[in-house]
Amino acid sequence: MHWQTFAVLDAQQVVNGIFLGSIYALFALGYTLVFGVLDILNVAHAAIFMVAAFAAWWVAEAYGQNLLVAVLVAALVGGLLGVLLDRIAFWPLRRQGAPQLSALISSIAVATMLEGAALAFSHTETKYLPAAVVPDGRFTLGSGTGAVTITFAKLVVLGTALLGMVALTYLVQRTRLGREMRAVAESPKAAALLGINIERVIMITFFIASALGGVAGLLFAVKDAPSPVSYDMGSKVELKGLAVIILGGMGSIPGSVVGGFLLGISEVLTIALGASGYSDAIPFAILFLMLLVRPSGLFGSRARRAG
Amino acid sequence: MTDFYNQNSLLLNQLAISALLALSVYITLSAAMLSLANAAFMGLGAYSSALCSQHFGWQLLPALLLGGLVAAVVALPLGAPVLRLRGVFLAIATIGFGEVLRVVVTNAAIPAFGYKIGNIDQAYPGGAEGLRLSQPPLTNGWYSYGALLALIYFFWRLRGSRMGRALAAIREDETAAESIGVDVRRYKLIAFVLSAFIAGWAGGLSAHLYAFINPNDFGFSRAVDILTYAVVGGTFSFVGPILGALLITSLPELLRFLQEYRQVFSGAVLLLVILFLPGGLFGLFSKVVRGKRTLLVGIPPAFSPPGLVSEAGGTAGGDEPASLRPPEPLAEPLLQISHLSRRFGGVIAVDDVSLTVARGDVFGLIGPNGAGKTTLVNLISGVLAPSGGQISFKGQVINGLPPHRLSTLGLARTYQNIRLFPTLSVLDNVLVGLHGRTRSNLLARLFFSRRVRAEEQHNSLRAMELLYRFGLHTYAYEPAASLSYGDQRRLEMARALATGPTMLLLDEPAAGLNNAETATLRELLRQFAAEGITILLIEHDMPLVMGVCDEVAVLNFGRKLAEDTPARISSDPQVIEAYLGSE
Amino acid sequence: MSRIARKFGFYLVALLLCSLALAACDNNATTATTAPTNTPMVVGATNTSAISGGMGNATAEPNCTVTASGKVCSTFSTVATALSGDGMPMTGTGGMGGGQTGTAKIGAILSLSGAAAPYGTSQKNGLEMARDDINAMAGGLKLELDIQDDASKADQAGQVMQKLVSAKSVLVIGPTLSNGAFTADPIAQQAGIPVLAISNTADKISGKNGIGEYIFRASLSERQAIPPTIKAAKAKLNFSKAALLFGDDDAFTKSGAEVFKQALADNGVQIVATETYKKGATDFSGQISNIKAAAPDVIVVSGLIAEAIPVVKQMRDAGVTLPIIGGNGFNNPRLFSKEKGAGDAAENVIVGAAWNIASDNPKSADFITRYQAKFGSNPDQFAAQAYTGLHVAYFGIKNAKSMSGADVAAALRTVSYNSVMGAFKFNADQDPDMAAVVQIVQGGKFAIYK
Repeated sequence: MHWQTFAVLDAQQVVNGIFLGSIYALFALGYTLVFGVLDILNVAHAAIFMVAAFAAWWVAEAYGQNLLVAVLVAALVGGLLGVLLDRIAFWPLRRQGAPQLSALISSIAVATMLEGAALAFSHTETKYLPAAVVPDGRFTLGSGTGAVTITFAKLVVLGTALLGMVALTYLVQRTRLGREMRAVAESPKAAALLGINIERVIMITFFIASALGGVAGLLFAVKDAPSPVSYDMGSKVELKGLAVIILGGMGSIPGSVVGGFLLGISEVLTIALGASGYSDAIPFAILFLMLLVRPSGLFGSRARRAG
Repeated sequence: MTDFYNQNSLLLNQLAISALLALSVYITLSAAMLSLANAAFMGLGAYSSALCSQHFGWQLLPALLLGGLVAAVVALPLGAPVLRLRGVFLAIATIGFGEVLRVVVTNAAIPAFGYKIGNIDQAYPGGAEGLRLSQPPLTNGWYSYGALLALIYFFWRLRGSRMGRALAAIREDETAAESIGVDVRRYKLIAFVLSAFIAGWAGGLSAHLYAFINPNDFGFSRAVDILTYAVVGGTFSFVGPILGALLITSLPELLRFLQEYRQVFSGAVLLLVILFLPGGLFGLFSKVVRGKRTLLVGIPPAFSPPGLVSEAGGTAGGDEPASLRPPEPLAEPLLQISHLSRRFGGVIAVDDVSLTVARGDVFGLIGPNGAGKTTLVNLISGVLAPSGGQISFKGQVINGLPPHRLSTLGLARTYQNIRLFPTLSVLDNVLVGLHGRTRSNLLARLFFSRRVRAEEQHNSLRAMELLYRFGLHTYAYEPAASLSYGDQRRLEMARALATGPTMLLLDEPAAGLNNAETATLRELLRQFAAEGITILLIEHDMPLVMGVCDEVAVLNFGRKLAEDTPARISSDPQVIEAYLGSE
Repeated sequence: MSRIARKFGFYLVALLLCSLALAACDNNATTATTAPTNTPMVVGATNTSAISGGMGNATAEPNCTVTASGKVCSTFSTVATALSGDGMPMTGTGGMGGGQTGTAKIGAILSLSGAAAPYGTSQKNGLEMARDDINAMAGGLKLELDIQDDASKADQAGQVMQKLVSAKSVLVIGPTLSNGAFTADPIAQQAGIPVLAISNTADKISGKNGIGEYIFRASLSERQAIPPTIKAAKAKLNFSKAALLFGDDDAFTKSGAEVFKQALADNGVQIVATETYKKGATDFSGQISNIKAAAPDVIVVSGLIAEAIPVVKQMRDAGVTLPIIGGNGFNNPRLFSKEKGAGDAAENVIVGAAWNIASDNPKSADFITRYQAKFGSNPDQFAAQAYTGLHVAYFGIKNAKSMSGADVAAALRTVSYNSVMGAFKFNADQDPDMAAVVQIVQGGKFAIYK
């Protein structure tokens, strides 16, 4: 353990943590949105995260386009997959009135299928996003030991993630659709009585949540040179995403954002302390403690969902 | 035969291990818990048993036992706080535990426990490269199949036992189970620890089967695999998970031609099962899922109404009355509520309510919808904890006592929205009610003790008599969900009565009943009162309340408006203004 | 709906029974796929058995072969004959007696999928080319290659080894990763079957001081390659403080790290930072920050290619311009590939190797040309070592008193052979008695470090 580094936790480490955290936050947003509105833990979210990245890779390879196109492709593919996921895996169970556990297992099944498809498609090879997609170059702030080097790629990642968070918050708080989503989250029956088309709201929720997840996948690849996309990238974040939403509070958007950044920074902190081997365990230790002490998370509400 | 085994011992043992793991998940699922920690417990068992056999040089059997024990011992403190959590949170907590364990194992290094394999030093626990064992791989199938057979025997005997029924009740409806005397937390913990032990044993087996432990084997995806075995096979009976494990473990061999697409296929199978086959594959063959047969059946008693003569000798009438406890010589009021209040955030649901229910009374509680009546009953029956004030029952303060304790003290309740155990038989529903008044018979059942058979007969008889009293004995073996609404209400009451209560809390028992059924209910209530059971009755049906109650209290906006005899309540202007007049 | 579901269920159960039966009856069933693996039913070992094809030229005279340049004859009982100018098939000598004929079954455990797939694929190419060349030679001994995939997983390597051993292979080549070797080789050692590693470079694998006397190595170990690399680099760059970065979850990378530590200490270099990562990591910013903070003069990395690439790229992206010295895992042309690798960021990375494509060994040139023609790309060190390895194995078997393990092992110990990597024989540790080549990436390829 480098205790001396602890005293000099430099700006670079914090910045690294923020970049990492921005992706965790964006990913967790989709998770938490679906849970908030539907009371379902969508395990397939991480698989969509990965497939959307592959889709963006494929489009970039075939048409050599730029980052903006890649982001749009990832969002679109992610969103559509999310809607498809709901139709196939969740909607039939909703109709049957099946217990929550069934929905969870159903999402696990779809996640397995999607990962298997990516495995077969890529023959377990890691693909790399073409250079045209990833912004090049870097710049350095300050000098000496306090210097912070930031690549443009990471900056773009952070910017896009923040944009996504802001857009979602605006949507949920200020628009009519957002109101409808919140109504369904409180009580589907009451919302239906008020004339809200529940299924439409659910479909849109899935689209938005999965689009965000897809963009997060693309950004995850872009962030780390040389921008790898592999069939198992979902498994790297899915469990951390869980830790984020438990920490922040399931169903809470600000909770995901804060939780994501906190997790990113704590992960980097662990590496900075020289215990990089344990960096994977930190999110889970936090998750576990949170569940024991305050299951509703930092921002979550204690109240159960009304019928 | 032995040739066949020798050539395929690896696969056959692997099948048994998968079946064991599937059963370990099944145990928790049958107590309504989704635990994804079994892969981690498997890892714990693997590493502990390897330590014993490698570093300490133990024989295999004690090493495996210790592996299971270590897992069970860890499960105990882990389970106690975690089992409080709601379904999906519980699952997540177990995932978290698994990951922490995996990371710790891959990073820790304990030279003191290392050992040599030939020339090479093997560090313990071996880190991310894995731990090699110095013994040749295990080929003796008795360790795996013996355990499997023992477990199958255990599950078979569990079925008709008190604990088996309790677990089934918990799975069907936890709240109802708790209110009739089942200590839900304790049973969940037992199930969790038992499941950990089995997973630990399976882990030790696996380690010695391959003479190698790979720490990445005990992560989330493995837990998902194990869950898949159980779900695909079907979770209504212990046969399902075994079937699922066998199928999924041996499928890769057949599907080798699919090569890279195997994972897609396995995901598809799971999806199809979860969408279209809720009972899993085994459910296709068992009539349980289709509701034609009941899940658990007590030993059919030799019951022939109305003689009420049991085969076991003696008559039911000579036995203690099915519904009555020996009277307790206490003079004080039975139930005393003083300044009770309950807040939900800013909403005050119950506001400084005090009332007294004397022994033998039929006490009515009325008030408009939302007045706080059900909340009050929930407070009394221990489902909610008071924000202020005190409740005492039989002179004992019962604030904060869990429902199952209250059931033992003599408090029983029914629910506004009927909480039965739907797939259990009518008879079994009542038998669960007897839970608090019977002793555990699992151990005796394992050894087929004769005393147990007599006891079970006796219990079934008591249950049947109760059913007869409510006119439900002809439906004894039907699933509870198949009864008509009115019959279901009566069944719930029969079940409540089976606990031998001193006081009954009835939450709108007449809701949804027609006039004839309400009249029957009135008769029943009068009979209970005559037998000395104190009743607290929440109702909207005014004629019923007026006709049967000795005292009536009126609640409005969480406060008590009045408490008096029915006649005076019905003429109280305040009450009329607040409530009466709407019929 | 439920009727369909019921039918579906019956078919599934029928499937179960069939699969059980098939699993039991099919002896070639890959038990590897039923082993606990990370993802369910991931691709297990593929079962390819390569039948010796040979070029189909049987020559009339023994010990003579037809090549592009004409017929060349050689004798086996003399010491290595002279090289011809434009690549003739190799000759080699072995112990007394020998002259085995017939077909020898040689198993090979390679990582054809998973993290080490880049190495495994090269090895497969090298082995197959060698097999074809060998079977085209006269001498009566043919080789039958049985290449199996261990998916870069140690326990699968172990299971595959068990199968190869029970299938009575004369010799086993591989596995690709040292991780796999530690699991698989003891099985062969116990069964008395010789193993020839063609890419294991971790410590304590070969010979009596390693896993056992049946284990041989045709690949230069880290212990042989790293010290000269450090020495040469220090002589040119004169550094005194080093940062060490390595993967701590792999036997090879850990062993390499140990060797680096030793070599640095022997050269008077102080290690000012030690950072680790796990396989599959993609974000090294934390470790890189720590390294920068420690202000070293040089960065030393022991890692596999999958992590080497992002490490190098991210180092440069973080503004680190210090020289980087890599271990054997860096020896892959993907390192400097623009599409799949670090591209320009890999310039000036220094790597110690057993063989370099720019080597002036004439056999090497011939090998490269033919490999190019056959596979459409340049060979890398792994292909070269595989090619060499199979030849060494061939001569070991050929010159053995019998095809039994003990005799083949004895013959191997005395093999002497001119390979594409130079004169080859085993030292006392049953490692190759050869010098390492220090390389540097320049102009998008590996050049000799001078």
